[in-house]
Amino acid sequence: MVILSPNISQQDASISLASVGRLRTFLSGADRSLVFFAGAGASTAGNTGMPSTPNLLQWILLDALKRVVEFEIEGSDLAGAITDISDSIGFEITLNDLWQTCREATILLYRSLAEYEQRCTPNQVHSLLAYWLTTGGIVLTTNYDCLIEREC
Amino acid sequence: MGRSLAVRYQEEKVPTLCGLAERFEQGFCLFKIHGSLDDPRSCLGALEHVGTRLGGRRANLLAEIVRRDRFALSAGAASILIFRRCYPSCIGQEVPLCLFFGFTTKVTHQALPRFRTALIRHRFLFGTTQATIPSSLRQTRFRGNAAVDGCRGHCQPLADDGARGFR
Repeated sequence: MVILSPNISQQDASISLASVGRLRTFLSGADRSLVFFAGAGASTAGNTGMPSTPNLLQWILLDALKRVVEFEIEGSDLAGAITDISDSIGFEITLNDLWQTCREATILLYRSLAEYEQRCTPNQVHSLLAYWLTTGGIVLTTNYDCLIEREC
Repeated sequence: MGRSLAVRYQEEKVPTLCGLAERFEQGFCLFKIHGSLDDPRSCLGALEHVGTRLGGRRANLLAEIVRRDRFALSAGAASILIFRRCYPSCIGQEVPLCLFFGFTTKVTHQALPRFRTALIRHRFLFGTTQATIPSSLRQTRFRGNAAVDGCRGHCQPLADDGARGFR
Protein backbone atom coordinates (compact mmCIF):
# COMPACT_ATOMS: atom_id res chain seq x y z
CA MET A 1 0.00 0.00 0.00
CA VAL A 2 1.24 3.46 -0.84
CA ILE A 3 0.49 6.30 1.52
CA LEU A 4 0.94 9.75 0.08
CA SER A 5 0.90 13.08 1.80
CA PRO A 6 -2.59 14.62 1.84
CA ASN A 7 -1.02 17.95 1.02
CA ILE A 8 0.12 17.18 -2.51
CA SER A 9 -1.93 17.93 -5.56
CA GLN A 10 -3.89 15.34 -7.49
CA GLN A 11 -1.44 15.58 -10.36
CA ASP A 12 1.52 15.03 -8.05
CA ALA A 13 -0.27 12.15 -6.40
CA SER A 14 -0.86 10.53 -9.77
CA ILE A 15 2.79 10.97 -10.74
CA SER A 16 3.94 9.64 -7.41
CA LEU A 17 1.81 6.53 -7.64
CA ALA A 18 3.09 5.80 -11.13
CA SER A 19 6.63 6.36 -9.97
CA VAL A 20 6.25 4.14 -6.96
CA GLY A 21 4.97 1.43 -9.25
CA ARG A 22 8.06 1.71 -11.41
CA LEU A 23 10.32 1.81 -8.41
CA ARG A 24 8.73 -1.27 -6.94
CA THR A 25 10.14 -3.42 -9.71
CA PHE A 26 13.61 -2.25 -8.83
CA LEU A 27 13.16 -2.59 -5.12
CA SER A 28 11.51 -5.97 -5.05
CA GLY A 29 13.77 -7.75 -7.52
CA ALA A 30 17.32 -8.95 -7.18
CA ASP A 31 18.68 -6.22 -9.43
CA ARG A 32 20.78 -3.76 -7.45
CA SER A 33 21.75 -1.39 -10.24
CA LEU A 34 19.72 1.37 -8.66
CA VAL A 35 21.99 3.75 -6.75
CA PHE A 36 20.50 5.98 -4.11
CA PHE A 37 21.90 9.44 -3.50
CA ALA A 38 20.62 10.70 -0.19
CA GLY A 39 20.76 14.33 0.85
CA ALA A 40 19.95 16.23 4.00
CA GLY A 41 16.22 15.97 3.55
CA ALA A 42 16.43 12.23 3.99
CA SER A 43 17.60 12.77 7.54
CA THR A 44 15.39 15.66 8.54
CA ALA A 45 12.10 14.25 7.32
CA GLY A 46 9.77 12.43 9.66
CA ASN A 47 10.65 14.07 12.96
CA THR A 48 14.01 12.42 13.33
CA GLY A 49 15.22 15.31 15.40
CA MET A 50 18.09 16.08 13.06
CA PRO A 51 18.40 19.80 12.39
CA SER A 52 18.43 21.01 8.82
CA THR A 53 21.63 22.73 7.82
CA PRO A 54 19.96 26.14 7.35
CA ASN A 55 18.59 25.92 10.88
CA LEU A 56 21.91 24.76 12.22
CA LEU A 57 23.67 27.59 10.52
CA GLN A 58 21.19 30.06 11.94
CA TRP A 59 21.81 28.73 15.44
CA ILE A 60 25.55 29.04 14.99
CA LEU A 61 25.31 32.58 13.68
CA LEU A 62 22.86 33.59 16.37
CA ASP A 63 25.02 32.15 19.10
CA ALA A 64 28.09 33.86 17.72
CA LEU A 65 26.23 37.14 17.60
CA LYS A 66 25.00 36.82 21.16
CA ARG A 67 28.54 36.39 22.33
CA VAL A 68 29.64 39.74 20.97
CA VAL A 69 26.59 41.93 21.34
CA GLU A 70 23.61 42.05 23.65
CA PHE A 71 20.28 42.02 21.96
CA GLU A 72 16.82 40.61 22.21
CA ILE A 73 15.99 38.39 19.31
CA GLU A 74 12.28 38.83 19.91
CA GLY A 75 10.91 41.80 18.10
CA SER A 76 14.16 42.61 16.37
CA ASP A 77 15.02 42.46 12.71
CA LEU A 78 17.99 40.30 13.43
CA ALA A 79 16.17 37.00 13.11
CA GLY A 80 15.20 37.78 9.54
CA ALA A 81 18.62 39.12 8.76
CA ILE A 82 20.29 36.00 10.08
CA THR A 83 17.97 33.86 8.03
CA ASP A 84 18.89 35.84 4.93
CA ILE A 85 22.56 35.56 5.71
CA SER A 86 22.27 31.83 6.30
CA ASP A 87 20.57 31.37 2.97
CA SER A 88 23.17 33.43 1.21
CA ILE A 89 26.43 32.02 2.47
CA GLY A 90 25.57 28.36 2.88
CA PHE A 91 26.55 25.79 5.45
CA GLU A 92 29.70 24.34 3.90
CA ILE A 93 31.17 27.75 3.22
CA THR A 94 30.56 28.79 6.80
CA LEU A 95 32.10 25.60 8.12
CA ASN A 96 35.03 26.09 5.85
CA ASP A 97 35.53 29.62 7.15
CA LEU A 98 35.42 28.24 10.67
CA TRP A 99 37.93 25.61 9.73
CA GLN A 100 40.30 28.12 8.19
CA THR A 101 40.28 30.27 11.32
CA CYS A 102 39.85 27.79 14.14
CA ARG A 103 40.15 24.14 13.31
CA GLU A 104 39.71 22.88 16.82
CA ALA A 105 36.40 24.69 17.06
CA THR A 106 35.24 22.97 13.91
CA ILE A 107 36.17 19.59 15.30
CA LEU A 108 34.27 20.45 18.45
CA LEU A 109 31.29 21.38 16.36
CA TYR A 110 31.30 18.02 14.63
CA ARG A 111 31.70 16.24 17.93
CA SER A 112 28.73 18.15 19.29
CA LEU A 113 26.75 17.10 16.26
CA ALA A 114 27.74 13.50 16.88
CA GLU A 115 26.49 13.75 20.46
CA TYR A 116 23.31 15.40 19.30
CA GLU A 117 22.73 12.67 16.77
CA GLN A 118 22.52 10.11 19.53
CA ARG A 119 19.21 11.66 20.53
CA CYS A 120 17.81 11.43 17.01
CA THR A 121 15.84 8.55 15.58
CA PRO A 122 16.00 7.05 12.10
CA ASN A 123 12.99 7.38 9.83
CA GLN A 124 11.51 5.16 7.12
CA VAL A 125 13.94 6.48 4.55
CA HIS A 126 16.82 5.26 6.67
CA SER A 127 15.10 1.90 7.02
CA LEU A 128 14.69 1.62 3.27
CA LEU A 129 18.30 2.54 2.61
CA ALA A 130 19.46 0.11 5.26
CA TYR A 131 17.45 -2.61 3.58
CA TRP A 132 18.97 -1.68 0.24
CA LEU A 133 22.49 -1.77 1.60
CA THR A 134 22.16 -4.99 3.48
CA THR A 135 20.76 -6.72 0.43
CA GLY A 136 23.65 -5.72 -1.81
CA GLY A 137 22.83 -2.18 -2.88
CA ILE A 138 24.86 1.00 -2.98
CA VAL A 139 24.00 4.28 -1.30
CA LEU A 140 25.90 7.52 -1.58
CA THR A 141 25.10 10.28 0.84
CA THR A 142 26.25 13.74 1.73
CA ASN A 143 24.90 13.33 5.24
CA TYR A 144 27.25 13.17 8.18
CA ASP A 145 24.86 11.37 10.46
CA CYS A 146 24.87 7.64 11.08
CA LEU A 147 21.13 7.09 11.03
CA ILE A 148 21.34 4.72 8.06
CA GLU A 149 23.98 2.61 9.77
CA ARG A 150 21.90 2.46 12.91
CA GLU A 151 19.14 0.78 10.92
CA CYS A 152 21.45 -1.82 9.41
CA MET B 1 22.56 -12.07 2.29
CA GLY B 2 25.09 -12.40 5.01
CA ARG B 3 27.51 -9.77 3.82
CA SER B 4 28.99 -7.10 6.01
CA LEU B 5 28.26 -3.51 5.14
CA ALA B 6 31.12 -1.31 4.04
CA VAL B 7 30.89 2.28 5.18
CA ARG B 8 33.42 4.38 3.35
CA TYR B 9 34.36 7.93 4.15
CA GLN B 10 38.04 7.99 4.81
CA GLU B 11 39.15 8.72 1.27
CA GLU B 12 40.13 12.34 1.50
CA LYS B 13 41.53 12.86 -1.96
CA VAL B 14 39.07 12.57 -4.75
CA PRO B 15 41.31 10.67 -7.22
CA THR B 16 41.59 7.82 -4.77
CA LEU B 17 37.88 7.37 -5.13
CA CYS B 18 38.59 5.55 -8.37
CA GLY B 19 39.67 2.77 -6.11
CA LEU B 20 36.11 2.44 -5.00
CA ALA B 21 35.08 0.90 -8.28
CA GLU B 22 35.77 -2.60 -7.13
CA ARG B 23 34.05 -1.90 -3.85
CA PHE B 24 31.01 -0.62 -5.65
CA GLU B 25 30.90 -3.59 -7.94
CA GLN B 26 30.58 -5.76 -4.89
CA GLY B 27 27.67 -3.78 -3.51
CA PHE B 28 26.87 -3.61 0.19
CA CYS B 29 28.48 -0.18 0.28
CA LEU B 30 27.49 3.08 1.90
CA PHE B 31 29.71 5.91 0.77
CA LYS B 32 29.56 9.09 2.83
CA ILE B 33 30.93 11.83 0.67
CA HIS B 34 31.21 14.43 3.40
CA GLY B 35 32.58 12.14 6.05
CA SER B 36 30.83 10.66 9.03
CA LEU B 37 30.07 11.69 12.56
CA ASP B 38 31.44 8.29 13.54
CA ASP B 39 34.76 10.01 13.09
CA PRO B 40 34.31 13.78 13.27
CA ARG B 41 37.75 14.36 11.80
CA SER B 42 36.66 12.65 8.61
CA CYS B 43 34.29 15.55 8.09
CA LEU B 44 37.26 17.89 8.02
CA GLY B 45 38.65 16.06 5.05
CA ALA B 46 35.43 16.73 3.25
CA LEU B 47 35.68 20.38 4.14
CA GLU B 48 39.18 20.51 2.80
CA HIS B 49 38.24 19.04 -0.51
CA VAL B 50 34.81 20.48 -0.79
CA GLY B 51 34.80 23.78 0.99
CA THR B 52 38.08 25.30 -0.02
CA ARG B 53 37.31 25.20 -3.69
CA LEU B 54 33.89 26.64 -3.56
CA GLY B 55 33.57 29.92 -5.33
CA GLY B 56 30.66 31.86 -6.63
CA ARG B 57 27.26 30.36 -6.45
CA ARG B 58 27.42 26.71 -5.68
CA ALA B 59 24.87 25.74 -8.26
CA ASN B 60 26.94 27.28 -11.00
CA LEU B 61 30.03 25.61 -9.69
CA LEU B 62 28.40 22.21 -9.70
CA ALA B 63 27.13 22.71 -13.21
CA GLU B 64 30.56 23.81 -14.34
CA ILE B 65 32.18 20.77 -12.77
CA VAL B 66 29.83 18.49 -14.59
CA ARG B 67 30.27 20.35 -17.86
CA ARG B 68 34.04 20.13 -17.77
CA ASP B 69 34.03 16.58 -16.50
CA ARG B 70 36.51 17.45 -13.82
CA PHE B 71 36.76 15.55 -10.64
CA ALA B 72 34.22 17.15 -8.49
CA LEU B 73 34.79 18.45 -5.04
CA SER B 74 31.22 19.17 -4.18
CA ALA B 75 28.74 16.74 -2.89
CA GLY B 76 26.31 16.16 -5.70
CA ALA B 77 28.76 16.49 -8.51
CA ALA B 78 31.23 14.29 -6.69
CA SER B 79 28.58 11.62 -6.44
CA ILE B 80 27.93 11.70 -10.12
CA LEU B 81 31.55 11.67 -11.12
CA ILE B 82 32.42 8.93 -8.69
CA PHE B 83 29.65 6.97 -10.22
CA ARG B 84 30.87 7.62 -13.72
CA ARG B 85 34.41 6.70 -12.85
CA CYS B 86 33.29 3.54 -11.20
CA TYR B 87 31.05 2.46 -14.01
CA PRO B 88 32.93 3.61 -17.12
CA SER B 89 31.60 0.77 -19.18
CA CYS B 90 28.09 1.92 -18.50
CA ILE B 91 28.47 5.34 -20.05
CA GLY B 92 26.57 5.38 -23.29
CA GLN B 93 24.37 2.54 -22.20
CA GLU B 94 21.13 2.64 -20.38
CA VAL B 95 22.42 0.83 -17.37
CA PRO B 96 22.89 2.99 -14.31
CA LEU B 97 19.92 4.46 -12.64
CA CYS B 98 20.47 7.26 -10.19
CA LEU B 99 17.86 8.30 -7.74
CA PHE B 100 18.34 11.57 -5.92
CA PHE B 101 16.30 12.36 -2.93
CA GLY B 102 16.47 14.34 0.21
CA PHE B 103 18.36 17.22 -1.31
CA THR B 104 16.35 20.06 0.08
CA THR B 105 18.61 23.06 -0.02
CA LYS B 106 17.75 25.88 -2.29
CA VAL B 107 21.09 25.72 -3.99
CA THR B 108 20.68 22.08 -4.85
CA HIS B 109 17.33 22.87 -6.32
CA GLN B 110 19.01 25.34 -8.58
CA ALA B 111 21.58 22.80 -9.63
CA LEU B 112 19.26 19.91 -10.25
CA PRO B 113 18.01 20.91 -13.68
CA ARG B 114 21.57 21.22 -14.89
CA PHE B 115 22.51 17.94 -13.28
CA ARG B 116 19.63 16.32 -14.95
CA THR B 117 20.71 17.59 -18.33
CA ALA B 118 24.28 16.47 -17.79
CA LEU B 119 23.26 13.08 -16.55
CA ILE B 120 20.93 12.34 -19.35
CA ARG B 121 23.43 13.59 -21.89
CA HIS B 122 25.66 10.82 -20.64
CA ARG B 123 22.69 8.52 -20.77
CA PHE B 124 22.33 8.13 -17.09
CA LEU B 125 18.79 7.61 -16.05
CA PHE B 126 17.69 10.21 -13.63
CA GLY B 127 15.11 10.28 -10.96
CA THR B 128 14.38 12.39 -7.99
CA THR B 129 11.68 12.65 -5.43
CA GLN B 130 9.20 15.36 -6.08
CA ALA B 131 9.44 16.66 -2.57
CA THR B 132 12.90 17.93 -3.28
CA ILE B 133 11.89 19.96 -6.28
CA PRO B 134 10.11 23.26 -5.97
CA SER B 135 6.86 23.46 -7.83
CA SER B 136 8.22 26.16 -10.09
CA LEU B 137 10.69 23.66 -11.49
CA ARG B 138 8.13 20.93 -11.80
CA GLN B 139 5.95 23.13 -13.92
CA THR B 140 8.67 24.32 -16.21
CA ARG B 141 11.84 22.37 -16.62
CA PHE B 142 10.51 19.14 -15.26
CA ARG B 143 7.02 19.29 -16.67
CA GLY B 144 5.57 17.27 -13.90
CA ASN B 145 8.20 14.57 -14.13
CA ALA B 146 9.93 15.52 -10.94
CA ALA B 147 8.78 12.44 -9.17
CA VAL B 148 10.85 9.33 -9.54
CA ASP B 149 10.69 8.79 -13.20
CA GLY B 150 13.86 7.06 -14.20
CA CYS B 151 13.09 3.75 -15.78
CA ARG B 152 14.89 1.59 -18.24
CA GLY B 153 13.77 2.22 -21.74
CA HIS B 154 12.54 5.69 -20.97
CA CYS B 155 15.80 7.52 -21.44
CA GLN B 156 16.04 9.87 -24.38
CA PRO B 157 18.88 12.26 -25.12
CA LEU B 158 17.96 15.70 -23.96
CA ALA B 159 17.88 18.88 -25.91
CA ASP B 160 20.03 21.57 -24.39
CA ASP B 161 17.10 23.31 -22.84
CA GLY B 162 16.45 20.31 -20.67
CA ALA B 163 12.77 20.51 -21.35
CA ARG B 164 12.49 17.08 -22.87
CA GLY B 165 13.41 13.90 -21.16
CA PHE B 166 11.51 11.16 -19.54
CA ARG B 167 8.05 10.57 -20.73
